[in-house]
Amino acid sequence: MKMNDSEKKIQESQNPHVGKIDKVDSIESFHKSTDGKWIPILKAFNPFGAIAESYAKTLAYKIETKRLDVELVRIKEQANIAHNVIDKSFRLKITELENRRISLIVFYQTVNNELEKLHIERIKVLEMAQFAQQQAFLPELSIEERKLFAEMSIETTKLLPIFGDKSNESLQNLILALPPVAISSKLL
Amino acid sequence: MWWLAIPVGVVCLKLLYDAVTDDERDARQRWENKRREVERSLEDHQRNIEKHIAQAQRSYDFHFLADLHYSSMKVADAAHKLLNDASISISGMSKMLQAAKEQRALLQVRLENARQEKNKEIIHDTIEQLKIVNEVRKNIFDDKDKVKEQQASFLKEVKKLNNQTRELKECIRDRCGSGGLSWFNKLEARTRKSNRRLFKTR
Repeated sequence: MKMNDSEKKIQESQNPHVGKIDKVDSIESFHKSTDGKWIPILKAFNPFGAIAESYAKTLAYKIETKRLDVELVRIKEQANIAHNVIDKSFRLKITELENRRISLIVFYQTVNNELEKLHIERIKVLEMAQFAQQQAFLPELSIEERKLFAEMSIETTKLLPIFGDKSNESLQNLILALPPVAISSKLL
Repeated sequence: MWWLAIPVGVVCLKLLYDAVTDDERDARQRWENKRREVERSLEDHQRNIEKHIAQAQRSYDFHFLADLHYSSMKVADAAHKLLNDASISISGMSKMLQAAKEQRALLQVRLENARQEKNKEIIHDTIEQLKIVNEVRKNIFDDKDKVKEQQASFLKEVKKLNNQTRELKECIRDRCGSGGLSWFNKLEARTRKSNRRLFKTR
């Protein structure tokens, strides 16, 4: 359930509109003169018409100024929302990173312990092989005993490449667990 | 006297017209100012948001790459340890081969002497011992070749991981702003310090 919520948040955070404030539409038509040929001439002979038009324009400017006041508030609020979204997306991504880091540290610790164990075993096995070989070459021992020690030396030496294979397997697991080396997708 | 009403009316109309047009001019001026204020505010907020996004992205990239660098370093360390292990095994096997070689030389001298003395018991015993030594040597050679292959593979991984770690380190320096540069410098200083300590202990 939590994953679904976080996925939704990620999707929301990847919305391309985040961080873009809507433009303010300017209404310019109200103070443009009409294209009619006779109306301006008629208006020129009607003083009340000019006064009425001027008054209407004044009202329109006042209304438009009020609208721009509201737009100012809208821009401020939209900017606040965008800043919040950026902060939240950032925190979400950082939390994801922290969680991944914790799980990776545990994983590295486990594999390192395993490798350390393999290292100790490998050293012990090498010492055993060397000891068996020394015994196999001792003239005081009977030929059967020497054969036995030689066999032991051969068998224990054979374990060394097997330890290498096991270590290589652990290393490949570590490499596979490495996140891909690339800058992640954009936050927003 | 009625004709006086005409100029008075004209004057009144003129005054009214002037008052209305003054109002219109003031209203237009206020509207223009407000429009400019809105445009400026829009640009300022947009710029701040873009700055905020860039800052957050840089910070995220820094954390992401620093984590990746840590992981890469840990895996490179593990690969380096395995490379050392393989080297220890090869060195141990080389010592065993050397011991077997010396033993074989001793046995060959002993065999030669026994042949001259025609001592059949010693000849038989020495040939048996030589068989054991040769068997041991052959097996060690085979196993050493396998470990050498593993060593080469570990060396390749170590080089690849070291390159990756270095690239990540440089990426943090170049792409994560002043924080990344500071992190890089601190890491370099730490590396230099530990290298000096290592050099002194040698």
